[in-house]
Amino acid sequence: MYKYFLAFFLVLGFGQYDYNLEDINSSSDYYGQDIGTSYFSNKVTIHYFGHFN
Amino acid sequence: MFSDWQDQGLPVQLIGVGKDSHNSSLGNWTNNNDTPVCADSSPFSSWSDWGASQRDVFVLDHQGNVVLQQSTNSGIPNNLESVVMDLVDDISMDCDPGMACAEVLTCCDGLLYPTSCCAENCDEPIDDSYNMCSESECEDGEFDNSNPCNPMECFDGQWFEIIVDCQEQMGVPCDGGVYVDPPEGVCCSSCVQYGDSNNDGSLNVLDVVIIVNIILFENYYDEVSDVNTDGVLNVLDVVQIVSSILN
Repeated sequence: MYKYFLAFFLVLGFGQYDYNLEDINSSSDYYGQDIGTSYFSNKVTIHYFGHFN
Repeated sequence: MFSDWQDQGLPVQLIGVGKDSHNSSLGNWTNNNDTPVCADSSPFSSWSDWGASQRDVFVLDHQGNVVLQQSTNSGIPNNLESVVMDLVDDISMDCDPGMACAEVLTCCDGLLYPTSCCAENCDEPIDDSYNMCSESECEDGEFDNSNPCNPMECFDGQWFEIIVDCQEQMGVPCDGGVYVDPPEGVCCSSCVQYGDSNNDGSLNVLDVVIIVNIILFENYYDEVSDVNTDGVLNVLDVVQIVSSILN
């Protein structure tokens, strides 16, 4: 329950520019975790949107 | 560029956001890199929420605010690195004046702050008159002559040894005189001319008086007064010093 409250307030804090998507890169440190802007709070984040062409 | 930032330990994170309808080509993104990559699912609400188009890059500050949004169809933005570095600098300068802190004098990085939060609540350091936080060993200009042969002086809060070179120890000859032990608080002996019994640097009647007094009343051997260096204090020394004075 606490986790949901925390996620709720984090979303409020980060507003529109956030998401919560699973990391599907098996080489990544965050593989399998749901990540987004708020996951990396207090960091500068760079988001690249692209198709896997 | 990003790998350099990672190597430097900067608080910067790159994330790729694709669409799960293209997962078959995921390897093109993930081969030989450990950047997190996410796949948005239909109806791709993350893309629409951000207003993102193919090949868009977004840079967000540490509080989640968009600072840069630009298409990379023509390449990576020229100012990307400077934008990111400025945002990283903002992180270290950020403070929260509303932070709850205990009202207790606290030392941080050698400075005294009024609360336990130090500078994190935007407080300025306060006067540390009692040197509660001072990491210095001494006061600038302070002098320690407790050992006159190894005096110490304070510069920038640190003690520094002053090298004392004594002529006698360095082998400098005392021509026409003899080395006399230094008084208390002085390290080096001094070269005193034979006959200069009062060690004032000159030969005059005062020295004659002293020599005569030693011979007649004190009856001890004074090497400085032994003007003819024969190992005995007598009238011959008086005659010689008078001759030196008159000549």
